[in-house]
Amino acid sequence: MKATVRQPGFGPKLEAVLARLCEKLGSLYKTQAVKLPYLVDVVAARQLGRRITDATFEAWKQGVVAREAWVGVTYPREGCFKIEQPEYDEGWTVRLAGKPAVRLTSEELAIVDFVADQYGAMTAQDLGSLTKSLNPDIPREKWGSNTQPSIDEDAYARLSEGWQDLWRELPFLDLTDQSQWSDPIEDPDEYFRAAFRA
Amino acid sequence: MPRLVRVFEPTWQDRSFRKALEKLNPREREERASQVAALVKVLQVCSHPVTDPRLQPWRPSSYRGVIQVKGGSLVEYRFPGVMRVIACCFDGSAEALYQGLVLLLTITLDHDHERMKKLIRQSSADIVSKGQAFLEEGSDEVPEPP
Repeated sequence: MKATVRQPGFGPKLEAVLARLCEKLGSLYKTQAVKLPYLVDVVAARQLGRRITDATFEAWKQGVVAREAWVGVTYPREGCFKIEQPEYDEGWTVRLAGKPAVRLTSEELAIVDFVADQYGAMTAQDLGSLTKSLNPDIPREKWGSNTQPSIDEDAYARLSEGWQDLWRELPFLDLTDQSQWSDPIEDPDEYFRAAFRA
Repeated sequence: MPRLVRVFEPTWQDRSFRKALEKLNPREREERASQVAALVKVLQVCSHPVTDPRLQPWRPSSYRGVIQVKGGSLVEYRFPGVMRVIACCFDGSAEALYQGLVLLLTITLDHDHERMKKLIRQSSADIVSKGQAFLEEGSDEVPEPP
């Protein structure tokens, strides 16, 4: 069944964020619509000292989800988006079909653009994994329990390349392989001076 | 008996560390090196790599279930800003050989924070220069709703 419907249902700022993401990316698939706003708020909380959206973020099985975005896309009503709903969930597409009720400031737009540029090309699976990597304090069995994820400096810090690389590699590392261990560090001053000179 | 602190070579000083290091000037490098050394000195003598009160300046957090090694847990040590040291700490339930070991996995340095700020400033300026019209009227590319 294919349907083309119109809708709001999002908070005004979330709607504006999704509208900008649509402008930048052309359209959003469902996972992008429910996950990219989280990354927007993580970056905004650090860069602007406040969130942009008023969304409720929750830890679902496949990662962090903006509840209102999921509801808005799944049960579309009137609004500034056109949502195509083929039978399979991931085929749902959100397109801009009007103007959002509120406008973002230039600073807010810049953050949304940044997130679109950095994370807009990721697959649904990678996006889910990325949002999980920002919340290592949520144990595996709690994903799916609607726990509230972090939107603080820690979450932002974990967007770093170093953390992301480590997170991806961890499942494949044998940390008990002693041939991969260094000798014990004896003089930390000397050791780290050398490490940071390299 | 001092606690052994080692590094795990495959992830330690990896590509992302080296990339981040390149962006630091000599003074910043020295500063970061002494910050990490200060943490490791405390780790070497602490009673526990997470709960010892002497580690409080680094606000350690332990994450269970992230590392699939008996007795091992991922621990994050925080520094001012976004610098972090990530380690695998082995407790008493680990095999005897690893008990008490702190295995440093990686340091995340600046996380391109400056680059991100610059991009956002730049992009923000671009948006303004492209015209107030967008902010006030919305994009011309968006069709009017029927």
